[in-house]
Amino acid sequence: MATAPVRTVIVDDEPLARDKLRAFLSRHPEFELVGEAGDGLTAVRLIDQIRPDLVLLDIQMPELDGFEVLEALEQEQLPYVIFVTAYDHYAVQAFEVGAIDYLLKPVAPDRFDQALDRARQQLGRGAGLDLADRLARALEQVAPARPRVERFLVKDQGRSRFVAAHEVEWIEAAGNYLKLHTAGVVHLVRATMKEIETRLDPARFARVHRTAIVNVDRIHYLEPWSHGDQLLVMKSGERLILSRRYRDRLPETLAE
Amino acid sequence: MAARRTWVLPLAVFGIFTAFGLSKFAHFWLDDLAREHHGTLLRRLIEELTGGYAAGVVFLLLTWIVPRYPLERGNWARRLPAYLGLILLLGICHTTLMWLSRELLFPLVGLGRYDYGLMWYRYPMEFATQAPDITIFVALVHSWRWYQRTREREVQAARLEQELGRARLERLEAQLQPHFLFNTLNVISSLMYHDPARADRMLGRLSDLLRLTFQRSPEPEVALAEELEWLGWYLQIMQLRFGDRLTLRQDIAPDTLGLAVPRLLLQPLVENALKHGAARRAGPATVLISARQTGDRLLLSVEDDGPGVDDPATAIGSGVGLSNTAERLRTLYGNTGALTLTNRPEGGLVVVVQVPARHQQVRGAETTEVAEEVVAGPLPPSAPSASLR
Repeated sequence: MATAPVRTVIVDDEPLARDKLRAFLSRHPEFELVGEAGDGLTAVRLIDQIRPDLVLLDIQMPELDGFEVLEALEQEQLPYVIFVTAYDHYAVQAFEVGAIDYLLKPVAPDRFDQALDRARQQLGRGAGLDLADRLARALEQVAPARPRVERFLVKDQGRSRFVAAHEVEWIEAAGNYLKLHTAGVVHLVRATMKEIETRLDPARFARVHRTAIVNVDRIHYLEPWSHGDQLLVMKSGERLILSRRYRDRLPETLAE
Repeated sequence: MAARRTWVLPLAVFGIFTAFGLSKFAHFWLDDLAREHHGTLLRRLIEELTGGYAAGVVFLLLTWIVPRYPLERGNWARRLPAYLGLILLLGICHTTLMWLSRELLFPLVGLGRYDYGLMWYRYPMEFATQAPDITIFVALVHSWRWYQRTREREVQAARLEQELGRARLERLEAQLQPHFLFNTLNVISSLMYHDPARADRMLGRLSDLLRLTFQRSPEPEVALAEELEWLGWYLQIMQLRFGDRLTLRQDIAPDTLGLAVPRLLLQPLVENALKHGAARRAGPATVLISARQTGDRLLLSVEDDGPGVDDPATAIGSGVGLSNTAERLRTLYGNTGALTLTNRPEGGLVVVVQVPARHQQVRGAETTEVAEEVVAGPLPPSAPSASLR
């Protein structure tokens, strides 16, 4: 099968940095540049729309950083990613752990070619789901070094919009996704409990169960339940289990 | 310095005890005249001067003994008896010195043989006044020693504090962001493919900035004009990186150009403005840098048109650039420097730095001045730049 070109997107906020990646990419006819984005939000829309095979993704960007771009994409939309970063010690460590490809700025042509070779091999092998897992692991690794989550980018009737963290009543684990329970609406975001727990404000959010994190402002009261577990009654009327294991994560005023 | 010091003490002792001798001579001679005993001038003069100088010798001995065997909190119970014995011994020395020197001098000046009377009574008689005098000498040498040590400790503390301040400054200045460095190198390497001349120019600017960072300048302050020149290099690079998206404006009152500002003060502030403006939002961004003098204060401000901050009062601690700046201002100016954040009503953040408006001194002159001040004692509060040494 005469291989179709690898459809590639370049995401970087600096025009000259994009120029360089474009120039390097143009020397590889088996890769086709199908789009460019100068900020995270545009990148999410672009990737959503054109479903590229490969994204060269800068980490530090306006609006959404490279990690947030990936978190905003659904699992089946995930392209193969090569991160391009100037200096992110934690990120590079995380990439090593997750076996994620990355390039360091200033990007050298030989390194660039190597990364493309690797990407082509991996794509040929069909690395889809495996990549999502590796990314999830890398994101868990890098979570402590990332800024606190103030808002979530969610899909709402086909459009992307932000939900502020304080609007979230509780967060429920659902496979590779999290369900954000807000007033009457449930949004899906792609992240793990471990990652999001690290990045939420610990004064506002507490893990109460293996599968639940609650906004402590939205707790109505606590009720005893079985085996030392307790029942959390939310202001919305929803009932959640406070596992014994996580009891000490709640602010003292609430737990007893 | 050390050679000078060895002469100062004997000379001072000689002068002081000459004065004591002369004073006592005047007392006794005039007393003689009042009782109409004439012709005692030479005898009294020799008696009282030998008495004074013998006391001076005793004092000099104490300046040697006391620092070696001082009475201190831990040892006073043990050493006090020894000191009482020492006082008795020095009393005997003093009387003996007077006796011998007078025996020697009296025949020389034609006063005949000196008669000190019955020595059985003479030693205790002299000791009656020697005991309190020598005790006072012991106390004096102790307090001098204590004063010296306190001062030494103060100078040491000041020196330590200055060293600490300088180390801290150097560390802060060295925080030229690696992000900036590598992104700039990346952009330059991109330019090389189609605009080598411009790439070369930018490499020059970056080198200028790096040189500045590595420079071990003795001065924590520079003239605003110089600071703005450095900032210009940085801004050229940022303009190159962000392209048309970034608009930079400056509004500098001409009379502020010669005023002193902390070295590399503005760059982190502009970096912060870019981080909150151009680097966070996708659209066009503007940064305004201004300087003006109000009364005895120099006001420098950096404004962006980003989203501002949630709580300007607590935001200083959260941005590395700003907390470093606040710390530097505290180190340099104490309470006379200030860093304030305000949200603009139309959106965006204004960071204002206030420093005392002083003209930047000529290089070199300041350094020697400061070096002397350190030796001379505690630094005057009116010389804040000196406290950074």
